[in-house]
Amino acid sequence: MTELCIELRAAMFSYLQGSLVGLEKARLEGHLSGCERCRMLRDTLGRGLRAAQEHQGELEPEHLKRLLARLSPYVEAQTVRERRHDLAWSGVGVAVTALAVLAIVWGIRRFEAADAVATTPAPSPAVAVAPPTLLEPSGAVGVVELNPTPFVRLIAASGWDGQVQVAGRRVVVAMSKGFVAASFVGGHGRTLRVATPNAAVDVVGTRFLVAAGPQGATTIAVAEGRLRVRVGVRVWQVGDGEQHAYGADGEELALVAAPGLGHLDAAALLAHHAPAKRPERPGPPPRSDQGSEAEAGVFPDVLEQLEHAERLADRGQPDAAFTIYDSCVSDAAEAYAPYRQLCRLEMARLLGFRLGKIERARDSFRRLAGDTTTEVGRQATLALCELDLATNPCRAVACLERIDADLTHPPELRREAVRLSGQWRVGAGGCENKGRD
Amino acid sequence: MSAWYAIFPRPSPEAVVREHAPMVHRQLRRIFGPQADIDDVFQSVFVEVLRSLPTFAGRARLSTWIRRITWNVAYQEMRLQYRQPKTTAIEDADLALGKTNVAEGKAADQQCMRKLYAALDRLDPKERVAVVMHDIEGCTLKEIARSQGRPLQTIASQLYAGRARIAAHLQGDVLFDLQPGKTVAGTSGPLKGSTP
Repeated sequence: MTELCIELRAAMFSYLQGSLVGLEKARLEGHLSGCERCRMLRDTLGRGLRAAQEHQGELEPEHLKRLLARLSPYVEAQTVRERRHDLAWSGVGVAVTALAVLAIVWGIRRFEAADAVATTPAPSPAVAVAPPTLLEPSGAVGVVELNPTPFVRLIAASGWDGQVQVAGRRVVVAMSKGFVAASFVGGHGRTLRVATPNAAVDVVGTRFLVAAGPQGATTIAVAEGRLRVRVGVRVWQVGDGEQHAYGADGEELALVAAPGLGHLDAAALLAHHAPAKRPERPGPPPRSDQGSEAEAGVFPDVLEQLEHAERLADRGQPDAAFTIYDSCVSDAAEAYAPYRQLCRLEMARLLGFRLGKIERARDSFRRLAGDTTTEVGRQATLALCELDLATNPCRAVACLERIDADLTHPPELRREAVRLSGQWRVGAGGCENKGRD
Repeated sequence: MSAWYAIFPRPSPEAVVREHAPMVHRQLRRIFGPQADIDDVFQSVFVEVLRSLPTFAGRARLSTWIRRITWNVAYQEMRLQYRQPKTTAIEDADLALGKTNVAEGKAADQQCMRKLYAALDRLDPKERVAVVMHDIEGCTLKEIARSQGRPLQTIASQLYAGRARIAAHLQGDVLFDLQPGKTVAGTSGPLKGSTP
């Protein structure tokens, strides 16, 4: 390959698109006539570009159906949000109308009182404000409906004994009898687990049914999406439209022999649960998460989550890691309390060193650096210096020197600053008057 | 809420998804190539569309707005993919230009397209956006600059650099083809001349 090949190859695109003219075109064509390698490039590139431009990527109907099924929980959640939004605006509209009517009536009555004419009282404007209709759950079987969070909906038989625990973005449903049909919108670190005596069902985002039988068997039916079911030490995947039953020992049972559903037909139940047929209940959703999360041991794995976030950050997924830390900071659960400052520090690190939001990171580090007697405070103080390392290493080293010179700082922080300034190794004499702010 | 949607009914989320799914899929297929698994990106696009739908002001056509979101999500995905460790052109023996005989017919076109997308996979996401939008989607530099919010000159530079790197990859020119900061397997550091 010659220097000319290298020089002309970027012009090949323009040549193939017909936008190369004059001397440049003649020069390239002259070169092509004598260079086999560049002719091959022209052929490959020309065919590749033409094929890519003509490629329509038609979507097979079956594939489209699968993609739409994956999206259905999100569509449903958005529809619900919009309905609530519209309902709220309707409420505001009704209230404004009622106030206007009230004001008119009040004005008329004052006018009439001034004339000292006895009249019959005007009808109360309150009748104009119809109370929202509470739609009762329907169905032949007694049905319990729960919306523990805007992203989880549960429909269960009245004989169901499930306990729902909500902690931040995690919802755990523990049940030992009856059935529950559920829909769940995943994403942003939200998780749903349904636990029966012999199985734990982890959900990513789907519509499904879990029934716990009297002899410890669990039946799973999936309307859309995919579930991961752990029975003992075995893990099963239950896919779209599948229905399986698992015995107490983790073995898969024949569906006909699976107790639990009784007279209920899973398909009919899931059809009942279809969003179009289901009445929407306005007002605050009922909650049954009154128990203490700590007592119930819902969060034995905070550290596991933080480790997972660290792994994600290492694997080049800082956004996902950020979401986990963010949930740790914003979650009111007691279990997160000891880790909140650490999570804030890690969020600031991601912002500054991975996501390129230096100023936001600097603000966060400044807030955290207030108390240098804590480990988080010390780390934040050092991180403030490190923020400048990439753009102005001299300033970063000067920052460390200031920490070392400040006798009010704890000795371990000053030692760490000295160690780091040795590690960062700015060239000797290269920082004269450059590192000062 | 925009004045437009105060007058005209807003399309339902389901209608938005059903109507625009084929268009988004087609666009993603063009961006990532015929072989790529784009189902997750497709889902991310519509999650973003549904999340932002209430803020859609109706100043542009809905399809234009969705197309822009698709580009943004695709760009984020490219950035993620770009950060994943990749092997270099040395190991892509079957894709190197000189090793295959470009036969006639549709199969050969498909093969050339695969080579082109393999080269695109190695580009910096910004360069890749410039090349795909300009040379495959047929956008002008001005349109790309406007949609990406970057100066025209920057887009032109990125297009030039991306084209040069693609051509280098197709010619099996390893030194030129290397991503900035990446190393060839078996060496300890970036090679000289690895960037144009």
